[in-house]
Amino acid sequence: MDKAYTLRKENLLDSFRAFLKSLLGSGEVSGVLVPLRSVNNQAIMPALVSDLSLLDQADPLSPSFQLNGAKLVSRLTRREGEEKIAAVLRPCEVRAFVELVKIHQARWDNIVIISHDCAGAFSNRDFNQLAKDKGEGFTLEFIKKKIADNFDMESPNISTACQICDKPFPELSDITLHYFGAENQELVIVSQSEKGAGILGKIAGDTFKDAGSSSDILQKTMDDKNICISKRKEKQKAIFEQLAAQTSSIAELSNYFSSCVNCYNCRVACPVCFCKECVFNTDVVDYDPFQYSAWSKARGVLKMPVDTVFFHMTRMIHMGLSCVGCGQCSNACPNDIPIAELFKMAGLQAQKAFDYVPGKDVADAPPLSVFYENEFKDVTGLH
Amino acid sequence: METFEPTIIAFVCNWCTYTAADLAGTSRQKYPKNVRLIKVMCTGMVDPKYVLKAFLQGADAVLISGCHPGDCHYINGNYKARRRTKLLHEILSRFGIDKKRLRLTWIGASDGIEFAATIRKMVEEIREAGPLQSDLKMVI
Ligand code: SF4
Ligand code: SF4
Ligand code: FES
Repeated sequence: MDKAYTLRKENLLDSFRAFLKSLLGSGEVSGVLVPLRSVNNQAIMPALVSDLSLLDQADPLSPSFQLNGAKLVSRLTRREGEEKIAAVLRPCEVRAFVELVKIHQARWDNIVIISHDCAGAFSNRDFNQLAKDKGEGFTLEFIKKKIADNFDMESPNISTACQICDKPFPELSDITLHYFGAENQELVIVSQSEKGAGILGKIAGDTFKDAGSSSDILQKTMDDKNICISKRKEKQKAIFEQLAAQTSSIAELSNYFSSCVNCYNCRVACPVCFCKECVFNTDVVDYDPFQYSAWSKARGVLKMPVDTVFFHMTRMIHMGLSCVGCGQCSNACPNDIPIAELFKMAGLQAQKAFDYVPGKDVADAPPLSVFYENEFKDVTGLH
Repeated sequence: METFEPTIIAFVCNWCTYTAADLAGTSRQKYPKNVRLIKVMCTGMVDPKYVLKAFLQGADAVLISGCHPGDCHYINGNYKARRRTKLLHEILSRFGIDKKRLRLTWIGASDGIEFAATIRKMVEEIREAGPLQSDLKMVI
């Protein structure tokens, strides 16, 4: 049975910080990766904090989601035997991290993953325009509103990816922090692994207290959580239906990407685009000039840059099975192409076909990394 | 009206289906000329990109064909091809490329007759299904 602890300070942000401080202060970890607010310009970026006092600038609850932190954790953990650190990640960041652990691009042995109920995020543009300068006051207002409306995603400025996210409550982690439904601003802290339980057991004390079984406490908000999830699934369905109608042929797909400039930002932002060197950066696509003329002559016209739909479909094949729906591709697109929902829709269909849920369990092998003699017989033959 | 003649790209493995195609030729089996054979060492080396590129460059259908389960000369290349084909089916069908336009078959080295029959059947099917991208001028 997992244990729960409760912590209550002036407000949720203070509680969150108090928890991180007791963790870092205990010496159990030597640093904490957490979204940090700059005192200079109020921008929020993930930062590896080792000085306790700087945790007063931690702002993990704001709707700022500049990039998927799984890639950063991958950098921090790629070697064995480094100092133990902790990372505060949104649920979709944890899922991406789990996908990277599976392909040995990140390690979980020496890091404490802390996740939390996620109220959703704005696009970077919206955050920078509407929220950044308002400082921490904006975060507190935002969180209060989100608790009151039970994470209703129809509220303004929440990114589409978050509106259709049906996994905003952390599952796989070492320690999870819960505040969904916490009208009284109380933070519930739960261990999700042996590592997490060990640490919480050691550092619990004055700052946060043993509150009994986690299932008893979390049970109270279960019904509301389920309502929240089913609402999002409905929204997801509606968006997917519209998308499917809009992209039912390659020509339509090409229209969808008609303003794509092949900058590949979406690929850079994607936490599960795992290739060390993307084929679209290699000489495979370094065509000779005569090739372009030949293509043009064959059809009378050649759209340039070439390979736009080819790139997107290739990426879909490469990362669709691991797509965690974080929405960072849309966030990164300079031309506001709604990429995230398209990739999530296609990815989800492929995931279902392989009965695979990315980010669910480190032990689940990525579908293309295994194969068996007696399977998928219906794929072969003419019928 | 002229009948539509589809273009079919076939990736065939050196050890089984290519040999079968060769046998079909030497034993004077007839099959339509719509198919362009590309010999690969094993179906396990057919990168999904090859299939995507073929469709985007104007193929109306793609065939991947190799050794029967248990007969792959690289032990399990054909099982990998099967999973990749499954994935391609899921993604392509989302965007209007029906599963019947991408086929995976096992045709052994001595199956010249089956090779010719497979091509005949596939060409017939795709003729009926029609061109994949008649309206597609701008896409690469
Ligand atoms: S996609 Fe889900 S988990 Fe990720 S930021 Fe949005 S609501 Fe949170
Ligand atoms: S970020 Fe946008 S413009 Fe750039 S490659 Fe991706 S879809 Fe195209
Ligand atoms: S060698 Fe024929 S499928 Fe592998």
